[in-house]
Amino acid sequence: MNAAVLRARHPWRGLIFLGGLLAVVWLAAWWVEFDIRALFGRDGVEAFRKVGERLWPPKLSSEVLHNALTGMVQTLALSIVGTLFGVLLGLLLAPFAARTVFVEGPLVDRRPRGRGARLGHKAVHVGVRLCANALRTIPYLILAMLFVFMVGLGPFAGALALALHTGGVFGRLYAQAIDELDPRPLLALQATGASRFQIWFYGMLPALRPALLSYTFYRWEVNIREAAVLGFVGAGGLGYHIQFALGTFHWSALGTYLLATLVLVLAVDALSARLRKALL
Amino acid sequence: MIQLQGIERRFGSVAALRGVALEVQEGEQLALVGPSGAGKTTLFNVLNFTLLPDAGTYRFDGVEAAEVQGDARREVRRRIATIHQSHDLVGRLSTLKNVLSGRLGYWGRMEALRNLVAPSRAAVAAVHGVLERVGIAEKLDERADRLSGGQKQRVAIARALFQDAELILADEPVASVDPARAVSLLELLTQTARDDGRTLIVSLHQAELARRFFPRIVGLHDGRVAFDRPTEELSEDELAAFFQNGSPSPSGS
Amino acid sequence: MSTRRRRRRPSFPRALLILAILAASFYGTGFRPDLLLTEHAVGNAGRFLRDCWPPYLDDGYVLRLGKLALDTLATAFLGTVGAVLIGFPLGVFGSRSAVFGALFVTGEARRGRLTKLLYLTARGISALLRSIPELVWAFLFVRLFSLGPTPAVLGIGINYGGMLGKVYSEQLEHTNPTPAAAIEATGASRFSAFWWGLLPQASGAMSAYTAYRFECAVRASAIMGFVGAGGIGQEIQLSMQYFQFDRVLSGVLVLVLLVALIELLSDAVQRRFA
Repeated sequence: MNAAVLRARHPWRGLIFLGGLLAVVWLAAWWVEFDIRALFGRDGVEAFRKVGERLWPPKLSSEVLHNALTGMVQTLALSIVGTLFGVLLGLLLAPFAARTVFVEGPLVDRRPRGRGARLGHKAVHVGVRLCANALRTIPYLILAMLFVFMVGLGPFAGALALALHTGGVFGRLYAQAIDELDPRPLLALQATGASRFQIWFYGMLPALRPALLSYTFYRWEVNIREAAVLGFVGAGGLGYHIQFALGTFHWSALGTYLLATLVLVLAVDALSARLRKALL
Repeated sequence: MIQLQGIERRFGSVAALRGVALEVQEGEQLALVGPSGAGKTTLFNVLNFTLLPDAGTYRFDGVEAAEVQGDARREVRRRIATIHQSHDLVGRLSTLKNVLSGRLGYWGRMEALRNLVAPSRAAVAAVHGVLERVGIAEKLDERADRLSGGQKQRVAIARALFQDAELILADEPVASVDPARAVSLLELLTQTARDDGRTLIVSLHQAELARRFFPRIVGLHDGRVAFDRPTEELSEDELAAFFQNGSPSPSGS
Repeated sequence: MSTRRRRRRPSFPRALLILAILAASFYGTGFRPDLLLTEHAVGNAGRFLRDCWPPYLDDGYVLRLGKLALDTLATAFLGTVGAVLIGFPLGVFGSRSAVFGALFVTGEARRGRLTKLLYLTARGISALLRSIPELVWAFLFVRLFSLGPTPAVLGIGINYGGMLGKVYSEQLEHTNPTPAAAIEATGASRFSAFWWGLLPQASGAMSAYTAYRFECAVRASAIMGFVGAGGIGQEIQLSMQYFQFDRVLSGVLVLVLLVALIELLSDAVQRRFA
């Protein structure tokens, strides 16, 4: 018995896993020609030292300060508008993207209907899901470029891109939250003769409230970071100044803008954590 | 081997131990009885160097608890194995790893890491042997959080046995198993301790088990030693009276 | 829900404040929905929709996109590995339970000035790393070293290292201290008690979160091309600049496929460890 148990085990199981992981890392590094020496070699260290020297002290001329301040305000505004519209779009998409509301499960309208209507329902469900997933998966910077192409340079394009992207993310997350809801209270509501619209407003939304709030604040923290780089494609915010300073090697101005980004992002993180605690 | 004098320990305003004195010789086996809240667990935490007493002295094999720190403290601690009342196993680790962790005091950093990733065949064989003794060898690779309460109890005992300590402290080791299993586990603990010449202190709340397995019984009540006698000098009535009133003599006398 | 918590209605001034903030935000972003309906906007949207279909699926081009997708994937993977290497120590030293041992019931929690400094340093570094977006880090490294995937790997590694550091430390703090204390009671060092008693409790959640972060890293790695750090994003951006919308669409399709695949994988890992 003892010997059989021992023979069946491989004492190096853990090491084989580690070895496999290392092999994949090595393969990936070889594929992209990752240059670790650039980082740790003499040139790398030298480059870091130089940049540190140039970034500090940050430039505080009135022009740079003005750029930094307006950039901060605009970035914050972008993140708020993007998140707000994302919530609205997500709430619009989620009921159609959730299985339990639209396709199968207790809340599906049980009235007899034709095959065609059933297929139509299914098609709407699949279509909305695809749409939400596409919005979510297409990187927001690509969306931003598209909107820049449509409405021109400026923060409006960024706001649209952020809103659509966030809407896609929320559409899927909210739909998941709906599918995980406890169906019993909803069924009780249904039994009282409530319409599906009423079930959505009085049964589901209140039950979803904690999940929705925590997703929303988490996403706001993500969006402030995304808003900070929208300017890389000319869609407003601090990113524009960062990109410009980097592109033209204005290192000390870059220091100011990076500091502004840091302050803004940390402030939003802290505020979001406080709001979340207060509301949940 | 163990010398306790005037041990006091408070938690905030609650006094858990108020002047405990106790001597235990090497190889002795004794039962610690008393209602919950009597201070048994606190006493064990003092005995295994987890807590320092607020007052009084504790010597283990000549080592004074208040005076050891760092490596010296660890060296004493690895000579004492504790079977905790809540088992305190690491849920996501296998039975094998939980039992192996009993020997961590003897391993350096590299050896500790190596055995976490890839335990040696010899170590696995040794653990398997201990698990056979407690009767759950087939659970070698089961995650600890998937075991039943009784199985966890036996893994905790196996870990203590695997530690190869001179003193074994068992805090309510049969609280989570059925009566038949309780008898066999106590048989196992007392028998192995006797075979290997280990000192054994077991806390129990069942009077009949204490009488059956241990030659010496110490009653703890309200943070004090209520009695400390050889079992043959302690009648069943006296023990029953202790459990009711906290004193071995019938009330009023 | 509970009796103590009454449902708070926003007071009038608070509602006004929220409205003011929202209005200011709309103003600040130059929110003009009418811009979407100008001749220029509608014309450009129509041009995009007309030109993007059918996607450009020339054999050579698809092969090229496939190679770029692999670049993106490898970059994301290396970035995540780097993030774990950075985030793990930050997480360990930034968690109270591991550093102070405050949760260990040994009664001798460490409160030295040095350990406190270590803890605050780890928290500070991880806040700094995660507050500058990965794309900004990558652009900085492009300027410092070279074009290509190396800056992208560094950008993801550094930014995500900060995020992992924060989340790891929270996960380590959410563990039960008694098993680690029981291991310390066997005479094990704090080092051993951490690896055998604390870490295994958090490792499942940590792995699941790392898998989720890898998924995010693929998305991040896909836009690294915007700062010249290679990958499929660069191709999409170039096609966009040359108004080759059919190529944009094929790039986006390949990217969506890649992300969907990684999401499936990451979901499986997360379920396994949940």
